[in-house]
Amino acid sequence: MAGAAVHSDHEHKPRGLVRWLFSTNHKDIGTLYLIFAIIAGLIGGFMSVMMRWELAEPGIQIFHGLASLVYGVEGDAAIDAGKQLYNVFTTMHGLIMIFFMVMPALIGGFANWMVPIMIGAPDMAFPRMNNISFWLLIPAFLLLLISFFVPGPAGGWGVGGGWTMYPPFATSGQPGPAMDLAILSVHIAGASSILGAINFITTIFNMRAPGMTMHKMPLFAWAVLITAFLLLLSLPVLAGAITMMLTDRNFGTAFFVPEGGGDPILYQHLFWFFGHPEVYILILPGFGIVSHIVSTFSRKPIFGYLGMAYAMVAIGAVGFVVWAHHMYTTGISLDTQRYFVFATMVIAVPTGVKVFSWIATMWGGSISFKPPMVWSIGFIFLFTVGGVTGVQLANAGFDRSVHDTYYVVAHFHYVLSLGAVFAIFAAWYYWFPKMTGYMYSPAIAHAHFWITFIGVNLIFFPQHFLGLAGMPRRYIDYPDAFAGWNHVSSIGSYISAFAVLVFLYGVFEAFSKKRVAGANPWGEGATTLEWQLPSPPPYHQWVDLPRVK
Amino acid sequence: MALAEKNILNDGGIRMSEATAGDFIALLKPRVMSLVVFTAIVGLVAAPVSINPFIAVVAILAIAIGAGASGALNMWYDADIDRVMTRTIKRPVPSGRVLPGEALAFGLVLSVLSVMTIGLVVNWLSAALLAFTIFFYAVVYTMWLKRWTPQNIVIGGAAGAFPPMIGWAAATDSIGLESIILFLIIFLWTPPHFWALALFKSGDYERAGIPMMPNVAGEASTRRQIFAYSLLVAPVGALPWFLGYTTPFYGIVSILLGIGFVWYALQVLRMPDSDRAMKPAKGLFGYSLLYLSVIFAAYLADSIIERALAVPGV
Amino acid sequence: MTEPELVTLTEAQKKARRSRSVAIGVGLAVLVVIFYVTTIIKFVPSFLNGAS
Repeated sequence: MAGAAVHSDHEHKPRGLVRWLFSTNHKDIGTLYLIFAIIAGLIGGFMSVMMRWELAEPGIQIFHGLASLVYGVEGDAAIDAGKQLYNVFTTMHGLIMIFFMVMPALIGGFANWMVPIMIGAPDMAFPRMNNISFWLLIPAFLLLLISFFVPGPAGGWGVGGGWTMYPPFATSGQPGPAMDLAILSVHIAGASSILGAINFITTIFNMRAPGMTMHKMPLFAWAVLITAFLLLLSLPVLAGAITMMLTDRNFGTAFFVPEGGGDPILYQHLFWFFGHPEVYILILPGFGIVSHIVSTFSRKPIFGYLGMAYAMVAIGAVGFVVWAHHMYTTGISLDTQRYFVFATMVIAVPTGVKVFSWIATMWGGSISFKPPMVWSIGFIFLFTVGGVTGVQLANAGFDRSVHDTYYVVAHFHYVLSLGAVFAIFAAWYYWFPKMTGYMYSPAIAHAHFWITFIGVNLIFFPQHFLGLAGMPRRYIDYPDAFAGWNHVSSIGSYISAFAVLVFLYGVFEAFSKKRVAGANPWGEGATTLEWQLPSPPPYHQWVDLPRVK
Repeated sequence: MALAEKNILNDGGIRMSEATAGDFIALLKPRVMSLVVFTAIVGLVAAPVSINPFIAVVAILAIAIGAGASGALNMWYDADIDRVMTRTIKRPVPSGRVLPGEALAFGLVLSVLSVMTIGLVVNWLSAALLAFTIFFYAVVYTMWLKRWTPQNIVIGGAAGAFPPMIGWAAATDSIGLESIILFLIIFLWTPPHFWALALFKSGDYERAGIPMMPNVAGEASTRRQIFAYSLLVAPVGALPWFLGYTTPFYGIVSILLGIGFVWYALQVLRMPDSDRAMKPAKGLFGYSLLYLSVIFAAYLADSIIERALAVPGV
Repeated sequence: MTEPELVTLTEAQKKARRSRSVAIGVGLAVLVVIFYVTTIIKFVPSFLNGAS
């Protein structure tokens, strides 16, 4: 027990509303983010199950009824509203999972919780701003949810067109306020993340304990630092782009309007200049987490620490100059395409270094297949699958055939749902005992893993075939020829939905059984500073800083 | 390594820093930075192309930070000799408030950020010039020439002469003859300015082992070289007017200032070896600061006047 | 796991660290504002942009 590090809680720990509304404690704020991410994940996940239910068979079976339920329309109007609602679901599913689930879970949640502890700091550099970052997400999410119920395109409700929100559909195509609400929502969520990024960079640069040099810092801290820099540099450009869209919609500017001298492709450049670093923002914290877990459960230090750290730096840096691989079919010149093909494939190199290093860490290690390790190994394998289809898609020629098909959907869901989400669950099972003091049931955790593994692979692997066969994305319906794999994919989604219930049951079970986890349930492989504190850690830790050798 | 008399432990990376933000700002050599900012503004305003004011502000800010970064790198490398000279002993690194490694990291990070910012926001020519300036000052001057040759500040002085060219490049995305002349004015001014200082601080430089001209070639030779340079500075200062880039207002000011420069340099030439108070040298040093500020201020005023008087559409 | 040795910060050190944090935070915020404004004005029609 780090007795001397424990600050006497009773005098200082706030209660009730002050504790949870006005928190300046990184652990409490991290908890708030995790709860928020779970709720948003359930909402975004609900949307995806509904879409898969609709796509289980050719024809429109579900969404007209759903639209009828929500908007009170009947007959043909319901079918139209149903189609619009489907488009809204594709858009909202993406926006919610990215901005309100993955980022809050990894950055707001786990990074907030663990980074200060790992670097030996008592809290973040700007604790109050940390709280502001969290509470900004609530209005942002509410604005997005409200957009469902206000007019979007002529005669319809909600925002369609995908999370990318390209003009002209996003400008003149959807004159109703739904789009404006979505733009404001993204502005506020972006502000939340920018403030968080400033907080993390300052904390990691300035608040490390004595002896904790940058090159002794845990890899999760490195991952968060690089992620924060990506946020800092890419989000302002997104903010600029959507501000320009807002003024095009409401104040008569013509940034993206050809008749006024503007260019819709400009929006795509600006969006993807943000959008590509964004996908690294979504995955880098996961890389850090997997490094910690693989090392802990192999009882070996990570192979090639410096290589791992600087591979992440390289991924982050190169990630800024590859954006137009999302735009191969927009009419950019052949030479431009050639450059982006080359640059995009370069990123595979540092990524490969990381995958090989994780494997090298396990080689010769004393491996125990506890739940965090199982999720991490799953991550390594499945992220690699998603990565290799990414290398394929990097090729403009191939991409020309599969752009905006289910091949792309399969690719990014492998790296996100089977990458980032597996990393989130790995982190959950790794750090839950530390955060709560309770150990969960390994049986339930393993069941959660296997049911999820089967479910998500069933959803997304067949989608490669659908994409190669030519099925476009963001379509409510499809020709009969695509029925087979669609059906399989939908069954996968029901299995995955059940897995989420298993997860939630497991959380409930851990809190009710209250098995004490202890400071370090994972043994000598867990070497970072958080395992030296009690579980849960005291309200204030490292008031006196640990000296790191 | 010098320790402050506090209870900070200094065993390489294990200590807790007591350096404030102000200490780090001191690393940037703010007084040099202000001169850099001023001359860069002149280069930018003198250029025949006008750019968005926000972009201009970002350009000048990046140039200022880049110049400051090279100052921090210099303070990292010169920590040992700064400790020996009275003029520099109170700097953050010799006084122990900032570790040399911290100054190095700070300088490197700011160098990268300033070059990247000016490249992305303004243009890549200014970024290249800024990067070159930082490299020239930190590596060519500080690490190589300064301790090796009495021509150190002659060649190294180029680093201080680049800012007007960077300002010009920010506005025009090119290098013009006019900006090269602004470069030349500072470049030729640098030797008499620094050698005047070296004359009355030769003891300091001697202790630090830096081969300034008076320590290597003697005071008499240095005085002759100062005078020779002043004969170059004066006409070059007025060259913009001779070439038709400015109004007669600048022409008159620059000629008068140049005459003054030669006069002060003449007093230094006439200084006997036995003069240890060296008032003429101090006088030239002080005048040289005035010279540069006023001549660039006149250039700025001249550019603004020309722009205000310009026929619309020209 | 051996208990870590603990270091107490003096008030001067805490204040110095806080001043450095604020400086870094402000600097980063300035960068964000620069990138945001630049994104927009780079694409505003030329009459607002000078000739760049």
